[in-house]
Amino acid sequence: MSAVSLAQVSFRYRASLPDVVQVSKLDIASGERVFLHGPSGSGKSTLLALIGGLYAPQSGSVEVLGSKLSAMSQSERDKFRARDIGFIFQVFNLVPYLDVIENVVLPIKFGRQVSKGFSSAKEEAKHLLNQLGLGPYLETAVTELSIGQQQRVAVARALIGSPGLIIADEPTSALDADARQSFLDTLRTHVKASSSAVLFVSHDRSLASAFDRSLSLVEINRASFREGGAV
Amino acid sequence: MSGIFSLALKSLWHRRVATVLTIVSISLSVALFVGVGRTKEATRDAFSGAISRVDLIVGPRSGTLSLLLYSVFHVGSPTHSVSMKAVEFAKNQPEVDWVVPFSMGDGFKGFPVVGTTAELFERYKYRDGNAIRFAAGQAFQKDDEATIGSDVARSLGLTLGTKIVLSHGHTEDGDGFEKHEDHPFSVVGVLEPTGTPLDRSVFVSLVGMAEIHRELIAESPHDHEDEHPVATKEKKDLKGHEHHDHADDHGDSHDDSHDDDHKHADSSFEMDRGKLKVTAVSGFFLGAKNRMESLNLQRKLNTWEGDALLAILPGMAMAELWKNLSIFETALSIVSFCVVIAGILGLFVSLYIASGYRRREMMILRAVGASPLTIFSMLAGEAVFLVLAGIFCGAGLMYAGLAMLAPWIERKFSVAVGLVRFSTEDFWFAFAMVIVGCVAGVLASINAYRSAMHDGLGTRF
Repeated sequence: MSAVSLAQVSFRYRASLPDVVQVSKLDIASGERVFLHGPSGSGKSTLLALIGGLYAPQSGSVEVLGSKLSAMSQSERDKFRARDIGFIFQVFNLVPYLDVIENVVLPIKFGRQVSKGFSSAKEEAKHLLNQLGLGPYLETAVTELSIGQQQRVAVARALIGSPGLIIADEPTSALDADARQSFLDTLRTHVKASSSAVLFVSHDRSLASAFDRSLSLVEINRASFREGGAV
Repeated sequence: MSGIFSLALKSLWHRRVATVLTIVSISLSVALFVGVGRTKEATRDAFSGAISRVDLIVGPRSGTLSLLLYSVFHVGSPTHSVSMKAVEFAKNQPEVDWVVPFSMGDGFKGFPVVGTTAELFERYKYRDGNAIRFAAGQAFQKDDEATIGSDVARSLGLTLGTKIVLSHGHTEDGDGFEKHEDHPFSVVGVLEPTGTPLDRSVFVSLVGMAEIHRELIAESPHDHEDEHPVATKEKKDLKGHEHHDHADDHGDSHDDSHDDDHKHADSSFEMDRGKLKVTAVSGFFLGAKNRMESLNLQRKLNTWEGDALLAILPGMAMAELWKNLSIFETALSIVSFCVVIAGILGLFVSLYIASGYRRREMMILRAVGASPLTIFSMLAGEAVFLVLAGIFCGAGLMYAGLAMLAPWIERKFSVAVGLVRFSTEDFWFAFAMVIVGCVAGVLASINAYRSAMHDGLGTRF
């Protein structure tokens, strides 16, 4: 079973607009960590939203962890995403009015199962946060954390319940060089432990070495050079 | 979805300053709206409750409203008078049960003085037939006695036995321009509060009323002819001739009929004090033996060939008065409605501003698996919470305010403000507010959701 399998996918936001994504084939194996390089405007955010089930393609098939998202209803995709996909964004990953631990357990509230070996979402969240060096900040307001700390909280949230796929959209671009390296190390260590597949997107090619495989979005997405292609 | 409720509450708490301000703005507009509604009702009740169980009010021919205003509300004063002959005529009609004449136009320290008969206290009812009761003492019996309303007693600190000197001329406050130290009235009765203009009145006998003008009449017989119900001073001079001084010269026909009056006068109206005799009054209240006869009696009195009379049905006149006042009522309603609109706009604005910076939050919730419906219900729920909190705070505020102000309002305006009471109108209003709040929440979240979706999962702002 592959983690992600796209075939002949095309997507546009509105019928009157041109395609933003045209991908004939993209496969990510289970547990594989893939680096996807793409400059801004190459449609990467849209591609990630398609894989995450936020949008459904107009044509083609999107399969994630053996489930055909492109054939599901919106609410089925929402449930699927809650259960099986962890997201990490560039910045502002966290809900500002929730404290650290509440942010981490959010996916559990929307249907993700706690990992084996843990009796509650809180317990797993604490375990993850401790491992990520955030032990002292469990009940801190997220707005009081540094950006590096916030990104690590986002990692904990993506990892909780060991989802089959983690999608990271430029998660290091707001970090300085030291924080970036430690973020990548952390991610690698924990993803290995949870055996999740990772789809990591960045415009910074220098990060590629940390991953099993590197792809270029420009090559994959035939729509990426269209002017105004990505929204 | 159990988490949604706590998420919404946490989000509101996170934005607590905006939350509180929004609730305050909604509650102020709700308080004003409900307050205006309650005041409107109280005023209407006070107006229509000011007179009851009186079938006709009869006065000199003028306007319906002016007759109603001076007879019931003691506002303004009659410009003409009604002869005792007219009173007699009405009293002698077979359909008539009782007649209570009254004289107006004088004041005591800003309170109107009403000359009438003691029967008034039995006949005159207020608010659906409530009888007038005495807090102390009784109705005046003699012509130098006065019975006073509760407001008069309280504001002037008058008690039974106090001597008061009534003055001529109704002035806004303070005494009239002349005092008559030689004819003080003693307070023999204080009425219980009624929440009607009775509370602000001083009642004396018709002769007592005439007494107030005695010297003036003697000194300058023609000075006050237009301001006052008429007292004719009848005195036998040394030679034994009858001599008439007329303070009233408007009804020419009366002149020859004074002796007539004297002969036919019912004992209750023949109240001599010294040598005064009452020959005319401002008007009279009338009770029919059968209410169904009121219209018939009204026609009879209006077409009487004696004085030019105007008989009005209190209920109809009240309705006409209310119609005249309703323009103010409408204006008040419009203002309060506008305030409510402003409150709702405030809600819209605050939700819209919030939705602007909540785009990211919505996207995060979407990313962790919240459905659009979940997010909409959360935002709409927050809006409904704001509206409900605003409604409860506003209603609480209004009733707390009313509870504090009610005694003052009652004292100042003789308007009894009912306490906690919700009209069906209020419920509809609250319901509409909640719906509007819900719509505001959904519109704001659609706005936020659209832009969030437009952002995609990227980091554009």
